[in-house]
Amino acid sequence: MQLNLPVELAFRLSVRGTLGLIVDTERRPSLSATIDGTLKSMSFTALPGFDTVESSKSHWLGTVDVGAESASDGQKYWSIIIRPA
Amino acid sequence: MVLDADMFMTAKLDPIPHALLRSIFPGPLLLSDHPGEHDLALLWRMIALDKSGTAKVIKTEHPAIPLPSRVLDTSIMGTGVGRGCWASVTAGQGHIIAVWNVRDDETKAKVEDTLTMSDILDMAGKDRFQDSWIIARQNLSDGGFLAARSTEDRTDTIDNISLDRMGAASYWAIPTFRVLGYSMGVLGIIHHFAGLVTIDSICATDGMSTSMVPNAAESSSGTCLQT
Repeated sequence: MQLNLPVELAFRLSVRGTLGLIVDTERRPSLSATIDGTLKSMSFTALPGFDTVESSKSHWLGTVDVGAESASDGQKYWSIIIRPA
Repeated sequence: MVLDADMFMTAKLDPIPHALLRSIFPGPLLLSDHPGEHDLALLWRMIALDKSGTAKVIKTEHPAIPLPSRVLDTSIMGTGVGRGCWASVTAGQGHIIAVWNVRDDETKAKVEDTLTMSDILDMAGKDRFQDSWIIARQNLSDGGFLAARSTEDRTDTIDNISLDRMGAASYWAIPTFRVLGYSMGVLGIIHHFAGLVTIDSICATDGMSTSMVPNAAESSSGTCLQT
């Protein structure tokens, strides 16, 4: 039996700032971040490869700002879940 | 340039290569700025606010150490063109590997060097690189990243480096997850010199199973999040 589990990447961030992730794909990804339950869109910019590599693959740097709107809620970390947008 | 982790100035005397070194070396953050002469933008790439609003210094837990295969390389000193001084450290989920031009300042000696996959394996051990990783070069001037590649490319040469006097470069090596149809890696706070340390354990679900990567730092631990 195949389970219908959510497909996601989850982790915790200890300080506020611009969170980044790199996605290895040819086309611009479409992902969103849920930060402590609040859905946020991620922006992506293409990263070039190193000059030494001839590769058809692209890397995308995805960013989202974390923590600017959050007040202390007794938790030590921001909980972040990455899902399809 | 002499690599020590003592005081440095944020607004004078080539602060960026010094800030990089201090960020991958534990201990206090010591500044020798003249009163009122600070580069706050640079300082905020070494500290950040936690959830309680308290400022934390963003440093690695352990000191960076020279790459074993390069530790006896005398080409890092002297005049003319030679190689750089390399050091690496575990940070959060991955590793930071950095290089400085420590050659003779007076003659403006230059570094021409190459980061190779052999260096990465030397740094982290072959076992940790059986799966796919991403190597990304930091933009030391402004934060963020300049270039990236996957270890799946299988070529030994990663990046050719040219460093003028007081030059430095930094790379982050992070494990990737196959999830959401993508291969992706989480960097952490990208404008900080050691922003990799800000990420706790990562948990990925691919629809059928859950995988988790513990922190590379020996004494760190994390909790897997489930929704």
